[in-house]
Amino acid sequence: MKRTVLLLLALALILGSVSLISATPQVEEAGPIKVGMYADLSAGTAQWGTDAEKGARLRIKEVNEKGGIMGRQVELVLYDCKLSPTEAVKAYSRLATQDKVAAVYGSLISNSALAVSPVAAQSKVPVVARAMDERATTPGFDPDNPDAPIDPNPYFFLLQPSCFQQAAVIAGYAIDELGMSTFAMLYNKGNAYAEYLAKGFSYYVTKRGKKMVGTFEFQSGDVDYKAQLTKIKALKADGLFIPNYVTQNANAVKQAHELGLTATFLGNNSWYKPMDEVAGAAADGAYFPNNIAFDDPSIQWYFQKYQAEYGEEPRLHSFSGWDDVGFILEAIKKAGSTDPDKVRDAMEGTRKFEGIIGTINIDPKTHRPVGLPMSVLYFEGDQIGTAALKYIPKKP
Amino acid sequence: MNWNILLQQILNGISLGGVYALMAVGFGLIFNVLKFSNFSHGGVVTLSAYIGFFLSQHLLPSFLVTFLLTAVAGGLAAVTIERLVFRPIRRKGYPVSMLIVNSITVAMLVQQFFAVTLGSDYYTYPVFIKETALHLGNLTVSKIYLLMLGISAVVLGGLSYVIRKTKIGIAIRAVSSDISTPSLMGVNVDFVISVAFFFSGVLGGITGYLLGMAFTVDPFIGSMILKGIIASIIGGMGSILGGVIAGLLLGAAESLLIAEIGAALTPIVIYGAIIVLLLIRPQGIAGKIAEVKA
Repeated sequence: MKRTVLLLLALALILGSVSLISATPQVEEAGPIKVGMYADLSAGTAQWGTDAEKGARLRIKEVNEKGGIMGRQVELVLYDCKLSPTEAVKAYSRLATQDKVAAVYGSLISNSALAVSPVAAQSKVPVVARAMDERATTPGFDPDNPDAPIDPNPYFFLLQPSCFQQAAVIAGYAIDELGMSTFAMLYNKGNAYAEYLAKGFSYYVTKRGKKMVGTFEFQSGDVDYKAQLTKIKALKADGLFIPNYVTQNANAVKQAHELGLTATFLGNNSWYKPMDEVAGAAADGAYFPNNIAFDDPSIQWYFQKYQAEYGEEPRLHSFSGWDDVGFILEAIKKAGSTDPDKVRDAMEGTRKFEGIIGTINIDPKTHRPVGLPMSVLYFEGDQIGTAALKYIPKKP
Repeated sequence: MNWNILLQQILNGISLGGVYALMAVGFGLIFNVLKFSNFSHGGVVTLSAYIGFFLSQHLLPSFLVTFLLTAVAGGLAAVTIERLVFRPIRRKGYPVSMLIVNSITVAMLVQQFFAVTLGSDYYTYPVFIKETALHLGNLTVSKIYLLMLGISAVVLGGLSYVIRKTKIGIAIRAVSSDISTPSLMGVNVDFVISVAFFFSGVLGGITGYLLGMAFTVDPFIGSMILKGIIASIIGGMGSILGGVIAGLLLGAAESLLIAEIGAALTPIVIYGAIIVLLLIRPQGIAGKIAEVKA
């Protein structure tokens, strides 16, 4: 009996040490280069996720056809995180520990990014995402003092202007180009992206000496905003900022229209297609910031490439997929390795990466791009037009 | 708050409250008959919202025709669900809790099915009403909401008549008060239950169509059923009149509370008030205490 116990103990020890050895990070030097991705392929924001996937796969296909990177093919390991921060963390952990990817292209949902960010800091496999909430890249971000210097999360990168930067673009345009001075806003308090856009908008407007006359919230499942909109109507603001997801934005403008609101709608980058189909002519007269203008001649090559591959027009986040995976592959190439730490270092030092949304220079202090202009688009009926191709707002 | 805005807020609330009432009654009808909370009603609502969209967008851009077809489709969906999921359990004499579990599963199944198959696109009904605002003095009434309120009133009035005056209505009420005795008197209980599910499903179909038309269709639109369940509880489970009054009240209260204290605090106040109400008056506004609470 004693012997059996000893034997079992010895066996456990051996097994334990074997699993310890295999748990230490190993960089695979042969076989395909694995790039991870977690995205919302089902649930409310599934269109963004599936579009991002299409862009990402297109980029990888092209790279592989040209012989891959460092002589190795690139493989995308993809998990659906269903608009759930918990699922996103699970997917990220699986990519980092089991699949041992070189880097991860993360979902663009800020709530998921806020959950993944601290895990990434521990697992030390870098994440590149479009999640705009500043706290994903700089956890100590203070919305009341956005310019205070803080440390970035070493393993999280943002590849588009952040919430405060995007809010400044549309607020700046409204003040300087449209001559507005009083504003109200209606946003989803449960969505970090909407909340930080709202905070950024209010910060910029107030700093510029203009007035926020009303701030109204709703909850994630709500579809009826008539109570808030009735109050907003009475405030008679020049502009109404509506920075949420597509269906919520569409419901808000339809109801505002039904109540006869006269304020000019100001949107976020979720007002891009398919908002034209979902809201229709109710969005008439709105202005919103966007990473690209679809009539920009310098990006038409991507439209053709995408059309040829998928037989449909690219929507916003197919551009993100192309750019973000390209950014990751560029960093792997520069690092000359698939070691996540080396890839991270290369990402931090990335300057002049040519993306469809513009030239990306990563600021090592914030892990966000600096000086990236945005387009300002507008609605005329249910048609989207370009008001300014490249717009940089005045400093507040 | 000035009177105009107050009146406007109540009007906003009541029009949405009409839809809450539709959901409360559709939900309560089944509670009355089988004494369980039929969460699959939310699934019927979601399914109908999509059916209404496909009919009106791709088959025929006529409001009346697609509306009626969707209502019937909702009814048939509910009957099918009853046949496949509830009847076998009922026949085997399993406890009511099994019915509840299955109804939740059906609701989740429908939601997940649409999330996976159609979740990556947005669906909007055709524009049936061009100029959507109607001005009455200083008040602005949304024509879509007015239509919702009108339809709810007609449908619920009709249902109330059927339940009280017709033979099948009397049979439903008989089965509601005692499920085993009517069969001794030659009533086909299975058939009566099917009819009750059909009525409930028609209400679900109408709810789905109206929600889809007023908002944007997505796989989670059926989760609005929660408001209907709340209204049903306030009204006294199973009472049509109670459900209607509670639906309208809930809509108006919600609208006023959101305007005054904000969207974040509103659910806290409403849920708190419901607990207090049920402690003081467990039978709800109009109901009598149901024998099995679930």
